[in-house]
Amino acid sequence: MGAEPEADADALMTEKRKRLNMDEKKITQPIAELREMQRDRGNPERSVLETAMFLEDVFGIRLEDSEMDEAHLGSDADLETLTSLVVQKLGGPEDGDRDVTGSGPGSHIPGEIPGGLRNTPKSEA
Amino acid sequence: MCGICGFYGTGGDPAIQGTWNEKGNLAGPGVQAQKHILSSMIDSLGHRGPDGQGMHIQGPIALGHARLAVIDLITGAQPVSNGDGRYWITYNGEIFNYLELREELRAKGHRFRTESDTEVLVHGYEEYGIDFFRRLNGQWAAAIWDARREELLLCRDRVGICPLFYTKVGKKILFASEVKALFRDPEVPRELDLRGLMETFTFWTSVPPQTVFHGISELPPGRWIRFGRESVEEGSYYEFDFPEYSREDVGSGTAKQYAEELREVLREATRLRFTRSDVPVAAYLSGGIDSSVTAGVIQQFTQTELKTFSLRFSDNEFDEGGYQEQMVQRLGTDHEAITVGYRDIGKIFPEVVRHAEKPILRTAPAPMFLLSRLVRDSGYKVVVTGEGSDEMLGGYDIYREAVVRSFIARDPVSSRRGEIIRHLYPWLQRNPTAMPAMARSFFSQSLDDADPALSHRPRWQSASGISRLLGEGARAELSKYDVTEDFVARIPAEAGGWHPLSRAQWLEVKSLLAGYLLSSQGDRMLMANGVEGRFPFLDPNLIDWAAKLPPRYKIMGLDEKFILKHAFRDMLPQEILKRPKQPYRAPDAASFFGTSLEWLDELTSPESLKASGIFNPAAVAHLVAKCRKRSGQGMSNFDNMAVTAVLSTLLLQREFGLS
Repeated sequence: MGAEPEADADALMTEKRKRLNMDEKKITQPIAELREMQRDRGNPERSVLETAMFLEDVFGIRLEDSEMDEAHLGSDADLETLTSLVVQKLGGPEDGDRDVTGSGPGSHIPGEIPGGLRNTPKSEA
Repeated sequence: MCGICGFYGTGGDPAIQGTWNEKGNLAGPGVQAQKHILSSMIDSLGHRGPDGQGMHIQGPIALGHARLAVIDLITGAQPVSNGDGRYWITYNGEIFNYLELREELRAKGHRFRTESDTEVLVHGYEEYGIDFFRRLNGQWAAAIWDARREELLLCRDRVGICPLFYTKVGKKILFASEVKALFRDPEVPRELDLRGLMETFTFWTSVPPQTVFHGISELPPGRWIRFGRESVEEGSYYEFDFPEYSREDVGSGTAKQYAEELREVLREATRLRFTRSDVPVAAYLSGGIDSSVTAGVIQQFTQTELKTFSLRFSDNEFDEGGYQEQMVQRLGTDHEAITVGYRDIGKIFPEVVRHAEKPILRTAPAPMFLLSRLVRDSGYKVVVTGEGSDEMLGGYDIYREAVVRSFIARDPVSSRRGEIIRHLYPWLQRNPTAMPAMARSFFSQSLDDADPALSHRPRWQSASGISRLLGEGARAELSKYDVTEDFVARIPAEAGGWHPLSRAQWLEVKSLLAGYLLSSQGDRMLMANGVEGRFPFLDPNLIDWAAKLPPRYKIMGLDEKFILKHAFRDMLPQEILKRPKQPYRAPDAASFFGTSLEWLDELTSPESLKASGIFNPAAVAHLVAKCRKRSGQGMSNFDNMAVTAVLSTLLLQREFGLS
């Protein structure tokens, strides 16, 4: 019986890793499609801002002005770098409960509802 | 597509009731007058249906039809009834899945006398009632008379491809494809509706049921209305909506998968619209992606050379001839083009307004009128076109603006975010003084991410400036209304859970698509010359598919219609695929003031302006003088819009004798 909590912990860790892997694929794939579209276009400044807008919209994160530059989002930022940035913004891999739906702890935009939109009062809608 | 009209005397009105006897036949002293009115209504729709006329008069109902023969050329005349004669229909449009529905109805015991889609509609209504409309893949406006219950039902397609208007005079309900047919009954008042005018000066169109004619309503798309002797009932069979946006979908599909799905759904939508016809079908080819794709897909269904038509402009600023020629070469179509100059537009403009039946803020419908005339003169009466793609798949600048405005709204004090505007509109960089002004006016207004109309407010505000040209009386009357907030209040409550792009799409489809693009610039300009338009991008299956498509596949970063380009990148020349989006436009003020037009001098004389009673004569005279001085060249966006709006309103007043 004494070994059971340890086994549970292992199982939990495995589950967390699985979810993390799955979520990273979910993060990487849209970014890869954006990068494919931007490929060979030139205009690095457009790509930086476009990438910022895309990441915020798709993943519900918020980027600082200082992060909207070539180093963070430009052509030098490969898939892994961008995925890591999103993961970090969503709560980081150490937080196994992060959630790309926008409803988890990584949802940084105040006033958002699950799904990432602002909670619009019905009277306004 | 055809023209429909008719009226229903609901009782108690001597002018109507006295014309029918107990046997249900026309009788009494008013008979000839009523018959004459119906006949005159049909005549007024002759341009919509030059191939034949029909009428059915029974009891209190009179149904009329002007036919454009496209399906079942031999026995497709209307009005027609179901098997036992209980239901009678007069109908305008096409049901593209009529063959499948007919088989289903046959299996249920229905017997058909014709090969037409019309008969399928009336039998389907008999079998399923209003629910049948949900099953229709097509474009239509119909009036169905239930002789047993003595009820008249009017219904219209999902997005408003086919028009339908109605009014009530005393106890007589009148309906028609176009308002000019309603005016053939002298009892129908001819009065401009200021609220409808204000809507047009804000949204570029009145929003159904509102029209610019007092007392006359337009049946909104996706809706039906049923008149009984003592009752009126109405409802929707279709709502244009979107699933709640959730980031859970991220990564659940790929561009490759969605592109494959789009190819499938568009291929089927195009097949139905190209093959379901008993007359030859041609295609428009504008030089843009949408019509290039539809023409390219059509090629897959025909061994014969496809006939294509396009519009060119003598002014290079508007001409897309180079792209058109590339696509013609790629597809090898039998191509014809018409080149339009300023004078062509100015000369035809009064006729264009007569057909549009509402003020227009741009001259763009005029060249479309000339293009459909070319189609008709070339012996064709059906064309497939690319309309609807921008609305469903994210092709408009206003959608990109919506995404950009949301981005800025998330941190309005950020200096970095605003810089994206110069990439949205690269041409702004050439104008360093306009850039800050434009940015301020277009991107700082109402920057509240929770505003459901965030995307559209700048456009509405810009257009509504036209109301400053109205006279004092009109402005006083209009101060009672807030057309913008009234329209915003119609946005469904669920829209709070939609992606901002979906909300922008809803606003666009409910205003500009139905009221302007498919009407003033669509059906009206096509049918003015008896040409039917077919729109694969407005196929209900494509609409439903597109509504569920994750927004990033519509606008990827700043790139519009991403999935359409991705899906058809092998079909299109690189130049067309990568060309910057160019909205279809035509010269406005230059078409009026760069040439001598008799009607213009007469219409803008001080006496005419005063007699109109709508506008402030001094303000309009000032605008006209400014345009004249520059021969209409180099006018601002607003001045172009304002002068076109004023002239079309004055022409409408004159044409229909509106007080």
